[in-house]
Amino acid sequence: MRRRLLSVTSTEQVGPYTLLRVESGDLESGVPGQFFMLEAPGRVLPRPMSLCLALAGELAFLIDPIGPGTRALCALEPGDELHVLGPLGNGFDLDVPRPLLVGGGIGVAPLPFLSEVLGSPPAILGFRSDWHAEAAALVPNAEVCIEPTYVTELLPDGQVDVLACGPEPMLAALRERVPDAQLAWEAPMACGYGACYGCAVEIDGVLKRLCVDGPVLCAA
Amino acid sequence: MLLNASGCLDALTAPEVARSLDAFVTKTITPEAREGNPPVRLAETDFGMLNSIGLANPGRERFLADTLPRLRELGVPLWISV
Repeated sequence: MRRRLLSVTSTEQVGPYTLLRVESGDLESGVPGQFFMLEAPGRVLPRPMSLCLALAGELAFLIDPIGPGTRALCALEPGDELHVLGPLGNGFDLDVPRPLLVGGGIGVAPLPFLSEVLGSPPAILGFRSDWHAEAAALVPNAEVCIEPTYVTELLPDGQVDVLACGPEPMLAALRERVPDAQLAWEAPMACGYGACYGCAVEIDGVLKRLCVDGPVLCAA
Repeated sequence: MLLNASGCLDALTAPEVARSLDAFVTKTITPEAREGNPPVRLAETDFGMLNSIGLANPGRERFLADTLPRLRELGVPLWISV
């Protein structure tokens, strides 16, 4: 676990999202599904972001500007500096024979890195609009649906190993269909490494600290 | 004297930070284990942050048996928040 001051190398619009690229310094990219704490300018709490792309000398994060912290991160410009801590948490178990990636909305964020590591397995991605679906271009071999069609309607009947990230209703629906799916959850965090207990989520009546118990949890 | 605020540092995760202090203050320990408050537990404001963790902790007995011996190995004075 390392915290480093890193420079922004570029930003790129991907539909409504921003792909923020920073120099990696000596930070490791970690396992897909792990996250980094990005310190947003002018905000108290850092924002947990899964790694979207692990490039040569760069880390890239796909960010949805939905609040003051994410908007501040998306407003960064090349040459700006920010503190980055990570990689943190537990990523996806990559030892799966029939991987199927499933993403919804900004939950697509960790899938490009995951797809690269797993050799471009099939993917199913759901978005609320064509504009949001521009992010699907980051994931090879993806089938895309737009609301009111949902990713669960595109799941194949055969045996697959689902690795998913998306909004809670999507994760809940996937759990019903694929009980052993690996699901990446999301919560506001403060420390990112288990000290503050701020990121607890209740899953099946049990409180879990997403930063150290997750963010990837097996549904079963 | 330099101390951490209770609940803001996990000395077992970041021992080098704990050792840089004059004393390490633990997260508050209660007689019985507490799961803490239901989420959401954090809220950032324009002027700081609010939290409502609810004193989540393993309870006195587990702290004494499991956590305290490991904290002692850090070699830094310990302040136990109770």
